[in-house]
Amino acid sequence: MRKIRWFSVVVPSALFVLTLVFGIFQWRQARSLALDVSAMREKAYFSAADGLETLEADLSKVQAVSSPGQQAMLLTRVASVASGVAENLAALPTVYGADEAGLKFLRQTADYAQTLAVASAEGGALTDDDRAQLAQLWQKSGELRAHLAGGADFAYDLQLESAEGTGIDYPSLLYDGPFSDGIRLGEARGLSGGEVTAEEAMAIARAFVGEERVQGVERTADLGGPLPSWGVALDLGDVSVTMQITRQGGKALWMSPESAGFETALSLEECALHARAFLFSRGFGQMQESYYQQYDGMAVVSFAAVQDDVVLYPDLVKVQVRMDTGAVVGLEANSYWMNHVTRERLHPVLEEAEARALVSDRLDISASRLCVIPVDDGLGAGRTELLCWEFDGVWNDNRYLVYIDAETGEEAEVLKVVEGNGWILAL
Amino acid sequence: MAVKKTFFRVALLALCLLLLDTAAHAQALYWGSTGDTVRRVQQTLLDWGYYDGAVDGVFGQTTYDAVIDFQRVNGLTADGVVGSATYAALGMNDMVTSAPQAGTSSSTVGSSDLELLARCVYGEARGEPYIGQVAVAAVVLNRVESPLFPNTIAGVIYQYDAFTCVSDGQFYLTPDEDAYRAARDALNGWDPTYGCLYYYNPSTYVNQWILTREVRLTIGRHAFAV
Repeated sequence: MRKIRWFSVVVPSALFVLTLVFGIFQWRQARSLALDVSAMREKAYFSAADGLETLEADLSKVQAVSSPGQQAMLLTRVASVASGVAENLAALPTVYGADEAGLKFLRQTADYAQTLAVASAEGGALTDDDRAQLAQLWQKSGELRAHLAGGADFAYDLQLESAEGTGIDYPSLLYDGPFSDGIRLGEARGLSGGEVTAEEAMAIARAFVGEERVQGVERTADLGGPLPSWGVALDLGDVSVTMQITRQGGKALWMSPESAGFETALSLEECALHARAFLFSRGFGQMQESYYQQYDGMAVVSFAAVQDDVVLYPDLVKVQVRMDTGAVVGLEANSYWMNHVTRERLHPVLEEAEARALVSDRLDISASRLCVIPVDDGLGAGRTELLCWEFDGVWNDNRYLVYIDAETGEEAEVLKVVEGNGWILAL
Repeated sequence: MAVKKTFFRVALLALCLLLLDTAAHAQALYWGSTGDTVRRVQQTLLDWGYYDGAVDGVFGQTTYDAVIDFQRVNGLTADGVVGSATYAALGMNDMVTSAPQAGTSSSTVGSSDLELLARCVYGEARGEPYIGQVAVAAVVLNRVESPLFPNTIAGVIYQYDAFTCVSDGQFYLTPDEDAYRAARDALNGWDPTYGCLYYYNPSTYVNQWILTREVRLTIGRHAFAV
């Protein structure tokens, strides 16, 4: 009797349970894999979208420069970015436009750009045919971008002659503004003096924010690394801010409010004025605003130091101002403290008119000024600076900033300005 | 009798495991999702002519294609993920979370990067002090700059096994205001960590290698290291 029950009840039950458990594990694994695949596809899609933005911008810039050197550099980048986008698109289901037309366009563009780049590097200028071709490619890149974002179908059947590739640019004020890659290597040239203690740091923080605003002060986490700092939290009544005060010299490294979402009562311009006055009163000296953005009820304005009417772009400070009261609640001064010293030679070899003549004549120039820009010498840690003439011009409804080396006359840098509703960035 | 009881207990346990797993994946639907919400989406898309497959509650290729079509026609980001915007367009307002305005600024260039970064911050660090959230975003951006990691924000975030919120689905939750602001601040250069590339929870993480990295700052649950 018992034997039969054992076989007819326990064994099947056990088997059933085992199967159930196995099934659950299989299902969970499938779920996990599905997520992985999803993630890979999303990564490919977003990376492709970023690449296309850079591609479009570079193809646009290449038409606005006149020196073979800049052309070569931009074309090389076009080549590598185009290949990169092609790779990413290839990883997607065809619904995203990873169909033949898109991929063909990208690969041909890459080859073509590479050929032109080599020619430019050897000193050759672009012919009219080349320019026409680039203009067409530029337009196509815009179409592909729209297609990827869910727009019209993309068709491509240009014939390109060519032989046979990563820098992805993100628009800045993002990433510190056009000339500051958040340098955290090397010594902080702007800092001097002895070390301050934690108590001194708290006093400095209070004074920096404005004694009358402070309702409470306490220590928070300190920052280690090459620029050790004291962490201070300040209660300002309706908002709290955290700050880091550098140990060397006792300077404000950054400040950030715990919450935002302020009423937008003031305009961006007014807030920028408040910010500039604040910086001046805190010993930053004369500052010139360069780029700005607005979010969460805060105006975020980027300033560069000015010396003898020359704008020093490496010495950047960003300020966050409440748009209801105009009070400063945020600050970011890493670049400033790394770079700010009195510059020695700020006299240009070339006159403004001479430099202007070297700018592509397609650009309709509206303003110019002298400035210092940081230059990455490609060795990583080492960054040098260059005195340049900055020309603000428009071509084909796009705004560009062209920087001519004030000594050699070479085109040192080109930026494309992107503006929107209440913000302005450079790419 | 005893056997039957055990059997039921085990079955119950198995059921619980099943349910636990679904808890981590909240409202947004994407490839691989299952459940009633998927069914509702499928039914709506079927009624409106975008979908012609079975209303089976499984988000597969056919559902995905239908969602993409729907998103395209309605001017939404055609990414195949059914989030707040798509729910709203489908008329499923009960699924729309009160996604706050991401600040008063209109869309910036590269807003998809902002979206990715904000989702990462929210998935990884919601509940942390605000500065801790900015720090997480800063780590992502530092990795983009570093030659050791991929060159794009998407590349860094989606790198295999880099962020747990991506592997466990929390990445698909809708970020709140703080997460967006933290992402924006980091994109504007605020880096509380001063260049850190890693972070971990010192009270849980046991990977020996990461403990050898220099910690620059500790905020809330996270130690940030370089």
